[in-house]
Amino acid sequence: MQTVLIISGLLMVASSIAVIFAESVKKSAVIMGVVSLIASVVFVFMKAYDVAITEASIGAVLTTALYFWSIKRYEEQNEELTGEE
Amino acid sequence: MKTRHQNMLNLFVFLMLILFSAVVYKALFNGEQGKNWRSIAKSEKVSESYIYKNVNEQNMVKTVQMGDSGHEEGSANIVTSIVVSYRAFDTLGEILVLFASIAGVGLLMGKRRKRTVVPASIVIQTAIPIVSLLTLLVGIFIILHGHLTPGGGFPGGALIAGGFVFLVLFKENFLKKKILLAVESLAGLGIIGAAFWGTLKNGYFFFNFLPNGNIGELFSGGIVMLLYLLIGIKVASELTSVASYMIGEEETNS
Repeated sequence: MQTVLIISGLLMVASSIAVIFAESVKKSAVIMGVVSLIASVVFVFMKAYDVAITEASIGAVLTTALYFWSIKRYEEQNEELTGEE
Repeated sequence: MKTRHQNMLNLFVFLMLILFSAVVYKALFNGEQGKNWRSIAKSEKVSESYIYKNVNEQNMVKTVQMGDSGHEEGSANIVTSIVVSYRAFDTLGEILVLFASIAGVGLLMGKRRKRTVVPASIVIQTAIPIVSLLTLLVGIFIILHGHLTPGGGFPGGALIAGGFVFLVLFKENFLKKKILLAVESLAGLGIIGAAFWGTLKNGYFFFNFLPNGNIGELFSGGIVMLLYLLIGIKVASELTSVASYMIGEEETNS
């Protein structure tokens, strides 16, 4: 129990540091999803199942999808601006 | 035409505000009902019994059993009985916070001009219908069993929204904003309507006006199941409308 929590906490810290040093924005968005997935596993071990479900669905699915859609919009706007000039 | 519609809406909002302030006034300055509530015997308030109930030790006093009836609050999940029944006003505030954030997203996200349609790969095309169907089923299960098992309106609604996001990956112009908006406002009106119906019945906002039933059955807990159903529909449609706002709308004259 204790070791699982410590290992997953260290994994979360390591992957949130990896978010900063990732090569592209898309990779860091995926690593953010992985962080919240590990957080949901931690919630399951702490017997908070409803919070685990919420974390997995909002943090891992919806937030990652939102990041990807906003990155896509940003890239499209950049293309438009460079195409007009 | 549009101004007339706007005037009707303003009148409706004004009437709702008057009703709301009347309820607040009654709750603050009419203490007779509150005395009534305090004079209920402690054994009839099931929440206290739930708090003293211990899962791990066998020699604790078991005051509430599955299948009991006649308690003040009949849902088997203590968190639900506090969140949706005793502190339902806080839940209304949470829904309001979520609604405000979604309104901000809708204000900022305009229409997208260019659309680069990338066809989905065969893995996505094969897997997405199965995965999204399973996700939607689990979400509906969690919402309907909110008063029995951990979970409820917010996790179930978020899961249903995740299923719709998977479907969006499959087919992009699948979501219709107007339908989502109508469903969301109907669910919100249902929550407020249930609250005011309780007020009319007994003088409390969010009074539990449905029969409690036996603890542990599917149709028990009174108003909790109805409220969680409405909250789940509202949360799911709000989070799905965020997805539809982020995708943007197709413009015919680009």
